[in-house]
Amino acid sequence: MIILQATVNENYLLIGPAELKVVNGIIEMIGAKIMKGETVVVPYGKRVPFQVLENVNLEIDADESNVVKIESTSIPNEWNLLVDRIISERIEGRLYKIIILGEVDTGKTFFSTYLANKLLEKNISPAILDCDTGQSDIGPPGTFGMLVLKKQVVFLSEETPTYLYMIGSHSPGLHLLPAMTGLVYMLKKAEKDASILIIDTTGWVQGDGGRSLKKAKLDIVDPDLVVLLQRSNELEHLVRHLPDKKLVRLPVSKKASPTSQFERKQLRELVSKKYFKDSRVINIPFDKVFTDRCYFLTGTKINLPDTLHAERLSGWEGTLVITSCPVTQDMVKSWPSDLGTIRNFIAGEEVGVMVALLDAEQNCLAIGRVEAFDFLNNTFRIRTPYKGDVSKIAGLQFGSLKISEKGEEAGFIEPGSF
Amino acid sequence: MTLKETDFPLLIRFLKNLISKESDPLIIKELIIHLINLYEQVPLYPGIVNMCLNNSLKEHKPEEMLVGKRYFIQIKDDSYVGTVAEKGNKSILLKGVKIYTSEDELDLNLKEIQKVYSVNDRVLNELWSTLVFEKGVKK
Repeated sequence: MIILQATVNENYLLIGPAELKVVNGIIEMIGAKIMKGETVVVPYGKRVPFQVLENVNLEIDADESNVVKIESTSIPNEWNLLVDRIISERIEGRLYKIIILGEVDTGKTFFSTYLANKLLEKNISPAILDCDTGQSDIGPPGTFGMLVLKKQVVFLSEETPTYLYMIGSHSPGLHLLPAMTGLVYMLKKAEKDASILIIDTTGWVQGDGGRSLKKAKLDIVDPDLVVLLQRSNELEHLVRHLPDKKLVRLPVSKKASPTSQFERKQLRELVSKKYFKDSRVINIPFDKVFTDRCYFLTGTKINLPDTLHAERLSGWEGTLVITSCPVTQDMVKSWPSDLGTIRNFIAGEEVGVMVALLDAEQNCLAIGRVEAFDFLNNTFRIRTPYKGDVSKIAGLQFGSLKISEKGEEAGFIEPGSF
Repeated sequence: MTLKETDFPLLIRFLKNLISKESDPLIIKELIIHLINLYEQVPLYPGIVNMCLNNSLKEHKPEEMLVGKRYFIQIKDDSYVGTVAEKGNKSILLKGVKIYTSEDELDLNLKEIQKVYSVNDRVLNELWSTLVFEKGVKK
Protein backbone atom coordinates (compact mmCIF):
# COMPACT_ATOMS: atom_id res chain seq x y z
CA MET A 1 0.00 0.00 0.00
CA ILE A 2 1.39 3.40 -0.97
CA ILE A 3 0.54 6.36 1.24
CA LEU A 4 0.82 9.51 -0.84
CA GLN A 5 0.60 13.03 0.55
CA ALA A 6 0.25 15.47 -2.30
CA THR A 7 -0.25 19.18 -2.43
CA VAL A 8 -2.55 21.32 -4.49
CA ASN A 9 -1.82 21.51 -8.26
CA GLU A 10 0.50 18.51 -8.25
CA ASN A 11 -0.12 16.05 -11.07
CA TYR A 12 0.30 12.26 -11.16
CA LEU A 13 -0.22 9.40 -13.54
CA LEU A 14 -1.75 6.22 -12.15
CA ILE A 15 -1.23 3.04 -14.18
CA GLY A 16 -3.61 0.13 -13.75
CA PRO A 17 -4.16 -2.23 -12.15
CA ALA A 18 -4.45 0.07 -9.14
CA GLU A 19 -6.91 1.15 -6.49
CA LEU A 20 -6.84 4.66 -5.07
CA LYS A 21 -8.67 5.92 -2.00
CA VAL A 22 -8.93 9.60 -1.07
CA VAL A 23 -8.45 9.76 2.71
CA ASN A 24 -8.51 13.55 2.84
CA GLY A 25 -8.73 16.31 0.27
CA ILE A 26 -9.92 16.35 -3.36
CA ILE A 27 -8.38 15.22 -6.64
CA GLU A 28 -9.67 15.47 -10.19
CA MET A 29 -9.51 12.55 -12.60
CA ILE A 30 -10.69 13.01 -16.21
CA GLY A 31 -12.82 15.95 -15.09
CA ALA A 32 -14.43 14.04 -12.22
CA LYS A 33 -13.91 15.26 -8.67
CA ILE A 34 -12.92 12.46 -6.31
CA MET A 35 -13.76 13.46 -2.78
CA LYS A 36 -12.80 12.28 0.71
CA GLY A 37 -13.72 8.61 1.24
CA GLU A 38 -14.17 7.85 -2.45
CA THR A 39 -12.30 5.07 -4.24
CA VAL A 40 -11.26 4.67 -7.86
CA VAL A 41 -10.28 1.32 -9.35
CA VAL A 42 -7.98 1.61 -12.36
CA PRO A 43 -8.33 -1.53 -14.49
CA TYR A 44 -5.43 -3.33 -16.14
CA GLY A 45 -4.33 -1.57 -19.31
CA LYS A 46 -5.69 1.84 -18.30
CA ARG A 47 -3.59 4.89 -17.39
CA VAL A 48 -5.21 7.85 -15.75
CA PRO A 49 -3.72 11.22 -14.80
CA PHE A 50 -4.99 13.10 -11.80
CA GLN A 51 -4.53 16.59 -10.41
CA VAL A 52 -4.67 17.58 -6.77
CA LEU A 53 -7.35 20.21 -6.18
CA GLU A 54 -6.98 20.30 -2.37
CA ASN A 55 -4.05 18.89 -0.39
CA VAL A 56 -4.67 15.16 -0.13
CA ASN A 57 -3.76 11.98 1.65
CA LEU A 58 -4.14 9.04 -0.69
CA GLU A 59 -3.97 5.30 -0.14
CA ILE A 60 -2.93 3.60 -3.35
CA ASP A 61 -2.88 -0.14 -3.84
CA ALA A 62 -0.46 -0.52 -6.77
CA ASP A 63 3.17 -1.18 -7.62
CA GLU A 64 5.29 1.88 -6.83
CA SER A 65 6.26 2.12 -10.48
CA ASN A 66 2.59 2.55 -11.36
CA VAL A 67 2.35 5.91 -9.59
CA VAL A 68 4.28 8.52 -11.53
CA LYS A 69 4.56 12.21 -10.72
CA ILE A 70 4.20 14.29 -13.86
CA GLU A 71 5.19 17.86 -14.54
CA SER A 72 1.90 19.34 -15.62
CA THR A 73 -1.74 18.59 -16.16
CA SER A 74 -2.53 16.55 -19.25
CA ILE A 75 -5.69 18.59 -19.83
CA PRO A 76 -5.05 21.44 -22.29
CA ASN A 77 -6.84 24.69 -21.59
CA GLU A 78 -8.47 24.41 -25.03
CA TRP A 79 -10.63 21.62 -23.62
CA ASN A 80 -12.10 23.89 -20.96
CA LEU A 81 -12.66 26.66 -23.51
CA LEU A 82 -14.54 24.14 -25.60
CA VAL A 83 -16.79 23.29 -22.65
CA ASP A 84 -17.67 26.99 -22.37
CA ARG A 85 -18.31 27.20 -26.11
CA ILE A 86 -20.66 24.21 -26.07
CA ILE A 87 -22.62 25.66 -23.17
CA SER A 88 -22.97 29.01 -24.94
CA GLU A 89 -24.08 27.42 -28.24
CA ARG A 90 -26.55 25.01 -26.72
CA ILE A 91 -30.24 25.76 -27.19
CA GLU A 92 -32.57 24.70 -24.38
CA GLY A 93 -34.90 21.87 -25.43
CA ARG A 94 -32.79 20.81 -28.40
CA LEU A 95 -30.19 18.03 -28.36
CA TYR A 96 -26.69 19.41 -29.01
CA LYS A 97 -24.68 16.75 -30.83
CA ILE A 98 -20.91 16.38 -30.81
CA ILE A 99 -18.97 13.82 -32.83
CA ILE A 100 -15.46 12.94 -31.74
CA LEU A 101 -13.24 11.70 -34.57
CA GLY A 102 -9.76 10.26 -34.23
CA GLU A 103 -7.60 7.35 -35.25
CA VAL A 104 -7.04 4.44 -32.87
CA ASP A 105 -5.35 5.41 -29.58
CA THR A 106 -5.87 9.15 -29.84
CA GLY A 107 -7.67 9.51 -26.52
CA LYS A 108 -11.25 9.84 -27.84
CA THR A 109 -12.79 8.10 -24.84
CA PHE A 110 -10.67 10.10 -22.39
CA PHE A 111 -11.73 13.33 -24.07
CA SER A 112 -15.41 12.30 -24.23
CA THR A 113 -15.40 11.42 -20.53
CA TYR A 114 -13.73 14.71 -19.60
CA LEU A 115 -16.21 16.70 -21.64
CA ALA A 116 -19.20 14.89 -20.13
CA ASN A 117 -17.92 15.32 -16.56
CA LYS A 118 -17.33 19.04 -17.05
CA LEU A 119 -20.77 19.53 -18.63
CA LEU A 120 -22.40 17.67 -15.77
CA GLU A 121 -20.52 19.94 -13.36
CA LYS A 122 -22.36 22.85 -15.05
CA ASN A 123 -25.70 21.05 -14.43
CA ILE A 124 -26.16 20.04 -18.03
CA SER A 125 -27.31 16.49 -18.74
CA PRO A 126 -24.80 14.84 -21.08
CA ALA A 127 -24.91 11.41 -22.65
CA ILE A 128 -21.98 9.55 -24.18
CA LEU A 129 -22.64 7.18 -27.06
CA ASP A 130 -19.82 4.68 -27.45
CA CYS A 131 -19.76 3.49 -31.07
CA ASP A 132 -16.39 1.77 -30.74
CA THR A 133 -17.60 -1.84 -30.82
CA GLY A 134 -14.07 -3.21 -30.90
CA GLN A 135 -12.97 -1.36 -27.79
CA SER A 136 -16.25 -0.83 -25.98
CA ASP A 137 -16.20 1.14 -22.77
CA ILE A 138 -19.98 1.36 -22.39
CA GLY A 139 -21.48 -2.13 -22.66
CA PRO A 140 -19.82 -5.33 -23.84
CA PRO A 141 -17.79 -5.56 -27.08
CA GLY A 142 -19.90 -5.81 -30.22
CA THR A 143 -22.46 -3.30 -28.96
CA PHE A 144 -23.17 0.40 -29.07
CA GLY A 145 -23.65 1.59 -25.51
CA MET A 146 -25.02 4.88 -24.28
CA LEU A 147 -24.59 6.28 -20.81
CA VAL A 148 -26.73 9.19 -19.68
CA LEU A 149 -24.60 10.64 -16.91
CA LYS A 150 -26.26 11.22 -13.55
CA LYS A 151 -22.95 11.50 -11.71
CA GLN A 152 -19.36 12.13 -12.72
CA VAL A 153 -17.47 9.04 -13.86
CA VAL A 154 -13.83 8.13 -14.28
CA PHE A 155 -14.09 4.90 -16.24
CA LEU A 156 -17.12 4.47 -18.47
CA SER A 157 -16.53 0.72 -18.37
CA GLU A 158 -17.43 0.69 -14.67
CA GLU A 159 -20.92 2.07 -15.32
CA THR A 160 -24.11 0.26 -16.34
CA PRO A 161 -25.15 1.40 -19.80
CA THR A 162 -28.42 3.32 -20.01
CA TYR A 163 -29.07 1.82 -23.46
CA LEU A 164 -27.50 -0.96 -25.49
CA TYR A 165 -27.75 -1.79 -29.17
CA MET A 166 -26.11 -4.90 -30.52
CA ILE A 167 -24.01 -4.58 -33.66
CA GLY A 168 -22.79 -8.16 -33.34
CA SER A 169 -19.22 -7.61 -34.48
CA HIS A 170 -16.05 -5.91 -33.28
CA SER A 171 -15.94 -3.92 -36.49
CA PRO A 172 -18.77 -2.17 -38.35
CA GLY A 173 -17.41 -3.71 -41.56
CA LEU A 174 -19.98 -6.23 -42.88
CA HIS A 175 -22.33 -4.77 -40.23
CA LEU A 176 -22.76 -1.28 -41.65
CA LEU A 177 -26.56 -1.42 -41.66
CA PRO A 178 -26.88 -2.46 -38.00
CA ALA A 179 -24.31 0.23 -37.18
CA MET A 180 -26.38 2.92 -38.88
CA THR A 181 -29.67 1.61 -37.48
CA GLY A 182 -28.11 1.57 -34.04
CA LEU A 183 -26.94 5.13 -34.42
CA VAL A 184 -30.45 6.31 -35.31
CA TYR A 185 -31.91 4.31 -32.42
CA MET A 186 -29.50 5.93 -29.96
CA LEU A 187 -30.12 9.41 -31.34
CA LYS A 188 -33.83 9.00 -30.62
CA LYS A 189 -33.08 7.87 -27.06
CA ALA A 190 -30.67 10.75 -26.49
CA GLU A 191 -33.25 13.27 -27.72
CA LYS A 192 -35.53 12.13 -24.90
CA ASP A 193 -32.99 11.72 -22.11
CA ALA A 194 -30.12 14.18 -22.57
CA SER A 195 -29.28 17.79 -23.47
CA ILE A 196 -25.92 17.05 -25.05
CA LEU A 197 -24.83 13.92 -26.86
CA ILE A 198 -21.14 13.12 -27.22
CA ILE A 199 -20.54 10.45 -29.85
CA ASP A 200 -17.30 8.54 -29.39
CA THR A 201 -16.49 6.87 -32.69
CA THR A 202 -14.27 4.03 -33.91
CA GLY A 203 -10.72 4.73 -35.03
CA TRP A 204 -11.59 3.44 -38.52
CA VAL A 205 -11.12 6.65 -40.50
CA GLN A 206 -9.31 5.59 -43.65
CA GLY A 207 -10.00 3.48 -46.71
CA ASP A 208 -13.33 2.76 -48.36
CA GLY A 209 -14.97 1.47 -45.20
CA GLY A 210 -13.67 4.18 -42.88
CA ARG A 211 -14.65 6.97 -45.26
CA SER A 212 -18.12 5.49 -45.94
CA LEU A 213 -18.83 4.89 -42.30
CA LYS A 214 -17.76 8.30 -41.07
CA LYS A 215 -19.56 10.18 -43.86
CA ALA A 216 -22.77 8.27 -43.14
CA LYS A 217 -22.45 9.01 -39.43
CA LEU A 218 -21.87 12.69 -40.05
CA ASP A 219 -24.84 12.84 -42.45
CA ILE A 220 -27.20 11.02 -40.10
CA VAL A 221 -26.21 12.85 -36.94
CA ASP A 222 -25.88 16.32 -38.50
CA PRO A 223 -23.67 17.35 -35.58
CA ASP A 224 -23.42 20.80 -34.06
CA LEU A 225 -19.73 20.23 -33.45
CA VAL A 226 -17.10 17.83 -34.79
CA VAL A 227 -13.97 17.41 -32.72
CA LEU A 228 -10.94 16.17 -34.65
CA LEU A 229 -8.33 14.58 -32.43
CA GLN A 230 -5.46 14.32 -34.86
CA ARG A 231 -1.69 14.07 -34.90
CA SER A 232 -1.36 15.83 -38.22
CA ASN A 233 -4.11 16.20 -40.84
CA GLU A 234 -5.22 12.56 -41.01
CA LEU A 235 -8.92 13.34 -40.51
CA GLU A 236 -9.33 16.31 -42.84
CA HIS A 237 -10.59 14.15 -45.76
CA LEU A 238 -13.66 13.26 -43.67
CA VAL A 239 -14.84 16.81 -43.02
CA ARG A 240 -14.23 18.74 -46.24
CA HIS A 241 -17.99 19.17 -46.70
CA LEU A 242 -18.50 20.76 -43.28
CA PRO A 243 -18.30 24.47 -42.50
CA ASP A 244 -15.23 25.41 -40.51
CA LYS A 245 -17.35 26.83 -37.67
CA LYS A 246 -18.50 23.29 -36.84
CA LEU A 247 -14.96 21.93 -36.61
CA VAL A 248 -12.62 21.90 -33.64
CA ARG A 249 -9.13 20.58 -34.19
CA LEU A 250 -7.30 19.32 -31.13
CA PRO A 251 -3.82 17.82 -31.01
CA VAL A 252 -3.48 14.29 -29.67
CA SER A 253 -2.00 14.24 -26.20
CA LYS A 254 1.53 12.88 -26.10
CA LYS A 255 0.32 10.77 -23.18
CA ALA A 256 -2.18 8.90 -25.37
CA SER A 257 -0.54 5.51 -25.37
CA PRO A 258 -0.71 2.95 -28.18
CA THR A 259 -2.24 -0.40 -27.31
CA SER A 260 -1.11 -3.57 -29.05
CA GLN A 261 -3.44 -5.99 -30.83
CA PHE A 262 -3.01 -8.37 -27.88
CA GLU A 263 -3.72 -5.67 -25.27
CA ARG A 264 -6.83 -4.63 -27.16
CA LYS A 265 -8.10 -8.20 -27.09
CA GLN A 266 -7.34 -8.42 -23.36
CA LEU A 267 -9.21 -5.17 -22.69
CA ARG A 268 -12.19 -6.37 -24.73
CA GLU A 269 -12.28 -9.66 -22.85
CA LEU A 270 -11.97 -7.87 -19.51
CA VAL A 271 -15.16 -5.95 -20.24
CA SER A 272 -16.91 -9.00 -21.66
CA LYS A 273 -15.95 -11.29 -18.76
CA LYS A 274 -17.19 -8.68 -16.30
CA TYR A 275 -20.47 -8.42 -18.22
CA PHE A 276 -21.06 -12.19 -18.18
CA LYS A 277 -19.77 -12.71 -14.62
CA ASP A 278 -23.15 -13.33 -13.00
CA SER A 279 -24.89 -14.85 -15.96
CA ARG A 280 -27.36 -17.74 -15.87
CA VAL A 281 -28.95 -19.98 -18.49
CA ILE A 282 -32.55 -19.27 -19.43
CA ASN A 283 -34.86 -21.24 -21.70
CA ILE A 284 -37.02 -19.43 -24.20
CA PRO A 285 -39.58 -21.40 -26.24
CA PHE A 286 -39.18 -20.99 -30.01
CA ASP A 287 -42.80 -19.87 -30.32
CA LYS A 288 -42.56 -17.11 -27.70
CA VAL A 289 -40.12 -14.85 -29.55
CA PHE A 290 -39.45 -13.37 -32.95
CA THR A 291 -35.99 -13.78 -34.41
CA ASP A 292 -33.96 -11.07 -36.11
CA ARG A 293 -30.95 -10.92 -38.47
CA CYS A 294 -31.44 -14.56 -39.42
CA TYR A 295 -33.63 -16.95 -41.42
CA PHE A 296 -34.33 -19.31 -38.52
CA LEU A 297 -38.01 -19.28 -37.45
CA THR A 298 -39.00 -16.72 -40.07
CA GLY A 299 -40.52 -19.21 -42.56
CA THR A 300 -43.10 -22.00 -42.59
CA LYS A 301 -42.10 -25.10 -40.70
CA ILE A 302 -42.15 -28.36 -42.66
CA ASN A 303 -41.29 -31.92 -41.77
CA LEU A 304 -38.35 -33.40 -43.63
CA PRO A 305 -36.87 -36.83 -42.81
CA ASP A 306 -33.41 -36.87 -41.20
CA THR A 307 -33.56 -33.20 -40.15
CA LEU A 308 -33.77 -31.51 -36.78
CA HIS A 309 -35.67 -28.60 -38.23
CA ALA A 310 -36.79 -27.43 -41.66
CA GLU A 311 -38.72 -24.42 -42.86
CA ARG A 312 -39.65 -22.98 -46.22
CA LEU A 313 -38.40 -19.41 -46.57
CA SER A 314 -39.81 -16.56 -48.59
CA GLY A 315 -39.87 -16.84 -52.41
CA TRP A 316 -36.49 -17.64 -53.94
CA GLU A 317 -34.78 -17.90 -50.55
CA GLY A 318 -35.36 -21.67 -50.57
CA THR A 319 -35.45 -23.88 -47.51
CA LEU A 320 -33.53 -23.76 -44.26
CA VAL A 321 -32.58 -27.22 -43.16
CA ILE A 322 -30.92 -27.87 -39.82
CA THR A 323 -29.26 -31.24 -39.49
CA SER A 324 -26.79 -32.94 -37.22
CA CYS A 325 -24.45 -33.63 -40.14
CA PRO A 326 -24.12 -32.18 -43.67
CA VAL A 327 -27.02 -32.90 -46.01
CA THR A 328 -26.26 -35.82 -48.36
CA GLN A 329 -27.67 -36.69 -51.78
CA ASP A 330 -29.41 -39.69 -50.20
CA MET A 331 -31.27 -37.45 -47.76
CA VAL A 332 -32.38 -35.09 -50.49
CA LYS A 333 -33.83 -37.99 -52.53
CA SER A 334 -36.61 -38.48 -49.97
CA TRP A 335 -37.50 -34.76 -49.84
CA PRO A 336 -39.97 -32.85 -52.06
CA SER A 337 -38.38 -31.55 -55.25
CA ASP A 338 -39.70 -27.97 -54.89
CA LEU A 339 -37.60 -26.88 -51.89
CA GLY A 340 -35.42 -24.55 -53.95
CA THR A 341 -31.98 -23.70 -52.58
CA ILE A 342 -31.21 -25.81 -49.53
CA ARG A 343 -29.59 -23.70 -46.82
CA ASN A 344 -27.98 -26.29 -44.61
CA PHE A 345 -27.01 -25.36 -41.09
CA ILE A 346 -25.29 -27.93 -38.90
CA ALA A 347 -26.64 -28.00 -35.35
CA GLY A 348 -24.01 -27.13 -32.80
CA GLU A 349 -22.49 -24.34 -34.88
CA GLU A 350 -24.80 -21.92 -33.04
CA VAL A 351 -23.11 -22.53 -29.69
CA GLY A 352 -21.54 -19.32 -28.40
CA VAL A 353 -23.20 -16.95 -30.85
CA MET A 354 -23.78 -13.50 -29.40
CA VAL A 355 -27.44 -12.59 -29.08
CA ALA A 356 -29.41 -9.54 -27.97
CA LEU A 357 -32.53 -10.08 -25.88
CA LEU A 358 -35.15 -7.64 -27.16
CA ASP A 359 -38.37 -6.44 -25.62
CA ALA A 360 -41.54 -5.92 -27.65
CA GLU A 361 -40.32 -2.45 -28.74
CA GLN A 362 -36.99 -3.95 -29.84
CA ASN A 363 -35.07 -2.32 -27.01
CA CYS A 364 -32.07 -4.39 -26.01
CA LEU A 365 -32.68 -5.79 -22.51
CA ALA A 366 -29.33 -7.56 -22.32
CA ILE A 367 -26.74 -9.44 -24.32
CA GLY A 368 -26.37 -13.19 -24.12
CA ARG A 369 -24.72 -16.16 -25.77
CA VAL A 370 -26.49 -19.09 -27.36
CA GLU A 371 -25.93 -22.26 -25.38
CA ALA A 372 -27.99 -24.31 -27.82
CA PHE A 373 -30.95 -24.46 -30.11
CA ASP A 374 -32.74 -27.25 -28.25
CA PHE A 375 -34.79 -29.07 -30.88
CA LEU A 376 -36.02 -31.68 -28.42
CA ASN A 377 -37.83 -29.08 -26.36
CA ASN A 378 -38.12 -26.41 -29.08
CA THR A 379 -36.39 -23.81 -26.95
CA PHE A 380 -33.44 -21.45 -27.13
CA ARG A 381 -30.99 -21.96 -24.30
CA ILE A 382 -29.33 -18.61 -23.67
CA ARG A 383 -26.67 -17.62 -21.13
CA THR A 384 -27.16 -14.03 -20.04
CA PRO A 385 -26.70 -11.72 -17.08
CA TYR A 386 -30.31 -10.54 -17.61
CA LYS A 387 -32.04 -10.61 -14.24
CA GLY A 388 -35.46 -9.35 -15.31
CA ASP A 389 -38.69 -11.10 -16.16
CA VAL A 390 -38.05 -13.65 -18.95
CA SER A 391 -41.58 -13.11 -20.29
CA LYS A 392 -40.51 -9.58 -21.29
CA ILE A 393 -38.12 -11.07 -23.86
CA ALA A 394 -40.06 -10.74 -27.11
CA GLY A 395 -37.27 -11.18 -29.62
CA LEU A 396 -33.78 -12.54 -30.20
CA GLN A 397 -31.36 -10.71 -32.45
CA PHE A 398 -28.29 -12.67 -33.51
CA GLY A 399 -24.76 -11.37 -33.93
CA SER A 400 -21.69 -12.70 -35.72
CA LEU A 401 -19.35 -13.07 -32.75
CA LYS A 402 -18.94 -16.15 -30.64
CA ILE A 403 -18.31 -15.88 -26.92
CA SER A 404 -17.24 -18.50 -24.40
CA GLU A 405 -19.30 -19.16 -21.25
CA LYS A 406 -16.97 -16.81 -19.38
CA GLY A 407 -17.21 -14.04 -21.94
CA GLU A 408 -13.94 -14.75 -23.74
CA GLU A 409 -13.71 -14.35 -27.52
CA ALA A 410 -14.43 -17.66 -29.26
CA GLY A 411 -14.48 -16.91 -32.98
CA PHE A 412 -17.20 -16.02 -35.46
CA ILE A 413 -20.20 -17.33 -37.31
CA GLU A 414 -20.53 -16.46 -40.97
CA PRO A 415 -23.33 -13.90 -41.41
CA GLY A 416 -26.44 -15.49 -42.92
CA SER A 417 -25.54 -19.00 -41.71
CA PHE A 418 -28.94 -19.81 -40.19
CA MET B 1 -19.37 5.43 -58.13
CA THR B 2 -19.37 4.87 -54.44
CA LEU B 3 -16.90 3.49 -51.99
CA LYS B 4 -16.64 -0.21 -51.29
CA GLU B 5 -18.64 -1.35 -48.28
CA THR B 6 -16.71 -4.58 -48.00
CA ASP B 7 -13.21 -5.88 -48.68
CA PHE B 8 -14.48 -8.95 -50.55
CA PRO B 9 -13.39 -7.44 -53.93
CA LEU B 10 -9.81 -7.73 -52.62
CA LEU B 11 -10.21 -11.49 -52.68
CA ILE B 12 -11.26 -11.40 -56.34
CA ARG B 13 -8.22 -9.21 -57.02
CA PHE B 14 -6.05 -11.74 -55.19
CA LEU B 15 -7.41 -14.54 -57.40
CA LYS B 16 -6.84 -12.44 -60.52
CA ASN B 17 -3.22 -11.78 -59.52
CA LEU B 18 -2.76 -15.39 -58.60
CA ILE B 19 -3.76 -16.80 -61.97
CA SER B 20 -1.87 -14.13 -63.89
CA LYS B 21 1.38 -14.52 -61.96
CA GLU B 22 1.37 -18.16 -60.89
CA SER B 23 1.76 -20.84 -63.54
CA ASP B 24 1.73 -23.85 -61.23
CA PRO B 25 -1.88 -25.10 -60.98
CA LEU B 26 -1.00 -27.12 -57.89
CA ILE B 27 -0.03 -23.95 -56.05
CA ILE B 28 -3.09 -22.15 -57.39
CA LYS B 29 -5.39 -24.84 -56.04
CA GLU B 30 -3.56 -24.91 -52.70
CA LEU B 31 -3.86 -21.14 -52.29
CA ILE B 32 -7.57 -21.24 -53.13
CA ILE B 33 -8.05 -23.90 -50.45
CA HIS B 34 -6.00 -21.68 -48.12
CA LEU B 35 -8.27 -18.72 -48.96
CA ILE B 36 -11.36 -20.73 -48.07
CA ASN B 37 -9.82 -21.95 -44.81
CA LEU B 38 -8.81 -18.44 -43.80
CA TYR B 39 -12.24 -17.07 -44.70
CA GLU B 40 -13.94 -19.76 -42.61
CA GLN B 41 -11.75 -18.77 -39.66
CA VAL B 42 -12.44 -15.03 -39.95
CA PRO B 43 -15.59 -14.60 -42.05
CA LEU B 44 -16.05 -11.02 -40.85
CA TYR B 45 -12.71 -9.75 -42.09
CA PRO B 46 -12.08 -10.35 -45.82
CA GLY B 47 -9.42 -7.61 -45.66
CA ILE B 48 -7.45 -9.62 -43.09
CA VAL B 49 -7.92 -12.78 -45.17
CA ASN B 50 -6.43 -10.90 -48.12
CA MET B 51 -3.53 -9.63 -46.00
CA CYS B 52 -2.77 -13.18 -44.84
CA LEU B 53 -3.01 -14.60 -48.36
CA ASN B 54 -0.51 -12.11 -49.67
CA ASN B 55 1.93 -13.31 -47.01
CA SER B 56 1.27 -17.02 -47.40
CA LEU B 57 3.50 -18.21 -50.22
CA LYS B 58 7.11 -18.55 -49.11
CA GLU B 59 10.02 -19.42 -51.34
CA HIS B 60 12.74 -21.74 -50.04
CA LYS B 61 16.15 -22.76 -51.27
CA PRO B 62 16.23 -26.49 -52.26
CA GLU B 63 18.79 -27.24 -49.55
CA GLU B 64 16.51 -25.70 -46.90
CA MET B 65 13.69 -28.21 -47.41
CA LEU B 66 12.83 -30.10 -44.23
CA VAL B 67 11.83 -33.72 -43.78
CA GLY B 68 8.12 -34.03 -43.02
CA LYS B 69 7.12 -30.77 -44.67
CA ARG B 70 5.02 -30.41 -47.80
CA TYR B 71 6.54 -28.46 -50.68
CA PHE B 72 5.65 -27.32 -54.18
CA ILE B 73 8.53 -27.89 -56.53
CA GLN B 74 9.05 -26.73 -60.10
CA ILE B 75 11.51 -28.28 -62.53
CA LYS B 76 11.34 -26.69 -65.99
CA ASP B 77 7.68 -26.91 -67.06
CA ASP B 78 6.72 -29.62 -64.59
CA SER B 79 5.22 -29.08 -61.15
CA TYR B 80 5.29 -31.46 -58.20
CA VAL B 81 3.80 -31.35 -54.73
CA GLY B 82 4.67 -33.79 -51.99
CA THR B 83 6.02 -34.31 -48.50
CA VAL B 84 9.76 -34.73 -48.01
CA ALA B 85 10.25 -38.26 -46.65
CA GLU B 86 14.02 -38.44 -46.86
CA LYS B 87 16.75 -35.95 -47.54
CA GLY B 88 20.25 -36.73 -48.74
CA ASN B 89 23.17 -34.56 -49.83
CA LYS B 90 22.13 -34.54 -53.47
CA SER B 91 18.49 -35.60 -53.52
CA ILE B 92 15.24 -35.80 -51.66
CA LEU B 93 12.51 -38.42 -51.61
CA LEU B 94 8.98 -37.11 -51.89
CA LYS B 95 5.90 -39.01 -50.77
CA GLY B 96 2.23 -38.39 -51.54
CA VAL B 97 3.27 -36.81 -54.81
CA LYS B 98 1.05 -35.10 -57.37
CA ILE B 99 2.54 -34.12 -60.69
CA TYR B 100 1.40 -31.62 -63.30
CA THR B 101 3.27 -31.95 -66.56
CA SER B 102 3.27 -30.11 -69.88
CA GLU B 103 3.51 -31.73 -73.30
CA ASP B 104 3.66 -30.16 -76.76
CA GLU B 105 1.37 -32.86 -78.12
CA LEU B 106 -0.53 -35.78 -76.65
CA ASP B 107 -2.46 -38.62 -78.25
CA LEU B 108 -5.45 -39.80 -76.21
CA ASN B 109 -7.58 -42.82 -76.70
CA LEU B 110 -11.20 -41.61 -76.65
CA LYS B 111 -12.37 -44.80 -74.98
CA GLU B 112 -10.12 -44.09 -72.01
CA ILE B 113 -11.51 -40.65 -71.39
CA GLN B 114 -13.92 -40.70 -68.43
CA LYS B 115 -15.15 -37.09 -68.22
CA VAL B 116 -14.73 -33.97 -70.32
CA TYR B 117 -15.54 -30.42 -69.16
CA SER B 118 -15.36 -26.94 -70.62
CA VAL B 119 -16.18 -23.55 -69.15
CA ASN B 120 -19.14 -21.71 -70.62
CA ASP B 121 -17.84 -18.18 -71.10
CA ARG B 122 -21.27 -17.03 -72.33
CA VAL B 123 -23.01 -17.95 -69.09
CA LEU B 124 -23.80 -14.31 -68.19
CA ASN B 125 -25.46 -13.78 -71.58
CA GLU B 126 -27.52 -16.89 -71.07
CA LEU B 127 -28.63 -16.28 -67.49
CA TRP B 128 -28.73 -12.49 -67.22
CA SER B 129 -28.30 -10.91 -70.61
CA THR B 130 -29.38 -7.43 -69.43
CA LEU B 131 -26.07 -7.20 -67.59
CA VAL B 132 -23.97 -7.72 -70.71
CA PHE B 133 -22.57 -4.46 -72.08
CA GLU B 134 -20.29 -3.53 -74.92
CA LYS B 135 -16.85 -2.55 -73.66
CA GLY B 136 -15.92 1.07 -74.29
CA VAL B 137 -18.22 3.98 -75.06
CA LYS B 138 -20.00 4.08 -78.45
CA LYS B 139 -20.27 7.40 -80.21
